[in-house]
Amino acid sequence: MRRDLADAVAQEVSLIAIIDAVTDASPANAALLKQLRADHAEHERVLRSLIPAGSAPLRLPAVSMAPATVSIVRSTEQRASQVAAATAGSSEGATAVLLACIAACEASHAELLS
Amino acid sequence: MTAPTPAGPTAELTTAWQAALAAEHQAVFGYGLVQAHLVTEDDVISNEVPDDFSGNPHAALARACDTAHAALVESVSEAMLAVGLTPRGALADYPALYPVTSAKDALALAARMEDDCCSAWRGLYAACTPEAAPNADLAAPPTGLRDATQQALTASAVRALRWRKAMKAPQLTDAFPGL
Repeated sequence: MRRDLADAVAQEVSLIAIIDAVTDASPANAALLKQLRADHAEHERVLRSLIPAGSAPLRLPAVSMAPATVSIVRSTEQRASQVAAATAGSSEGATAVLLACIAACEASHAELLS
Repeated sequence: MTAPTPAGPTAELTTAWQAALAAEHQAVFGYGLVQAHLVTEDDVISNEVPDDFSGNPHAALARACDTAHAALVESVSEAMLAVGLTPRGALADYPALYPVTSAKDALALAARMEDDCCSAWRGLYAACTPEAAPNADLAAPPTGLRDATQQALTASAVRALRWRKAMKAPQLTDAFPGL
């Protein structure tokens, strides 16, 4: 499996877990966070679809949940956008384009939470 | 023996680059329409500093977006000239942007133009990737074009979100801007 895809999927899984933790702790932001979570779930779904059949199972990192705040989500989105853009820049074809769009999406998420 | 002449940008890359520039030209024109419906007479009369619409955040956002797109038109045109391409100019009019008859229309138009720019920049990004130009005889994209394209795509995605927020749109985010 290509490393860029595996890392990108892991990033999305991590973001979803953080958003879930913040949603539980901050119901007032639930509607907003729901939109962000839906985007990340879509990112994960499409990224997984690019992984060749028969590839080794993904090994996802453990996600630290504390402290779970909107500010943490914002900084994580910003970092994720930068990582996705850098990974896109060293990837090829459809994967590169997908990651470039994901980077743009995650930057807009950070903006929404600012 | 003479050294081989470096190949210019591929036809696909050139077309996508021109399309991105066209989208930016359209945005510059369109933000003129947007501002005409967002800047009020009070803004003009009450501001001591011309063009400072600090009391009217939508007008201020439109002005900032206009400035950003105008800067992109300039930088993209310079980059194209640097590799021997002739950058396309602005059209005299953009009928697809009309009608704009209210502030509500103006907000929607701004969001739509940013989405159009995202789509154009995504197209250029695709044309920059190696799989899009698999022929080894063709030149690689100019240095820095891919990074600049990512920045432009991201910037338009952020601006589109700001306009959807201004519109109070039910769906603020876009999972894949430009796709």
